[in-house]
Amino acid sequence: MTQPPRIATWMLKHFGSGPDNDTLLGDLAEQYRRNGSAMWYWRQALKAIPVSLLKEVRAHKWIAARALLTGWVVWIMCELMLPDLMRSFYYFRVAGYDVPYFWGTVPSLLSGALSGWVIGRFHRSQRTSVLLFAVSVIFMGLWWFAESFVFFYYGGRARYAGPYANDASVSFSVSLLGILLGGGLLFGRSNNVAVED
Amino acid sequence: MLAIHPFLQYSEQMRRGDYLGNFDLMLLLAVLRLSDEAYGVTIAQELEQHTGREVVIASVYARLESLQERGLVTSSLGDPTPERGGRAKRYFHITGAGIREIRDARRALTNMWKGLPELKGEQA
Repeated sequence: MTQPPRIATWMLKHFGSGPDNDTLLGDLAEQYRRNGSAMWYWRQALKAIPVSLLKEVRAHKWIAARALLTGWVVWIMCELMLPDLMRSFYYFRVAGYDVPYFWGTVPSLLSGALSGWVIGRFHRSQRTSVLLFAVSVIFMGLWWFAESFVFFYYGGRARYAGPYANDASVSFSVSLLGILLGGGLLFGRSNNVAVED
Repeated sequence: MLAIHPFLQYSEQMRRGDYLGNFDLMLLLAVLRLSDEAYGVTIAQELEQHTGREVVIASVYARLESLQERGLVTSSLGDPTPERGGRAKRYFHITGAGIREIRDARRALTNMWKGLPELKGEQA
């Protein structure tokens, strides 16, 4: 058993940032051959992703801020351009809940993909910038989700909380997938050059 | 002219990275101990051996990069090897400034240690 866990390696390869990412993968592979612990490998790979992201963001604060601003502007513009009427067309009801058709997720996928692509296109530290934006979307999604759920639940409109939660979680998840796809993080080896600012 | 408040002075020094953190100091000592064999895996092992805690190799690189920017260590790439999946090792070497920093830290810590009865005989 000398081959390290493939999914962990794939995740670190695609989501790890910084010039030392390749060296780190080599270190993990070398140590895995000695200790053979898949748990150890997973722990190291999963912790390496936020550590390397934070390191890169600290080193290039302005570029990180610009990437976030660019991503959010593009994402919000796309979301505003999709009227609610058009969105509601894409849903059907199952057991009292609105469930999106497959193509109902396309607008969210497109807005995510476009914002991911724009960030990746205009930032040399592509992986860090796209990943940072994806993380910000996760946090914003969780905050929005929790706030809206509480609003519905305690605002006497609990019956809307379920469909809303379903809609919001599907939209954000698909949008997140779009960001990673558009930013080129899921396929191939993206440009991971550290930026001199 | 007004004297700078010690807290502000300390904050400024921390911001500039003039003080070595605990982890940074241990990293420098590990690099010094390992001499020509100091790279990610061996440094992490050295730290684990002496602290008894698991070390995240990525954080070793993150801190060493910061120490390199301060001129306390340098690094060089080795040759790629098959057991590492064809990836090279990054070797770290301590600089003269790094050794001076370790000496300063030891002097400061030794002075702080003196006269602390609680720490005598491992009682604390």
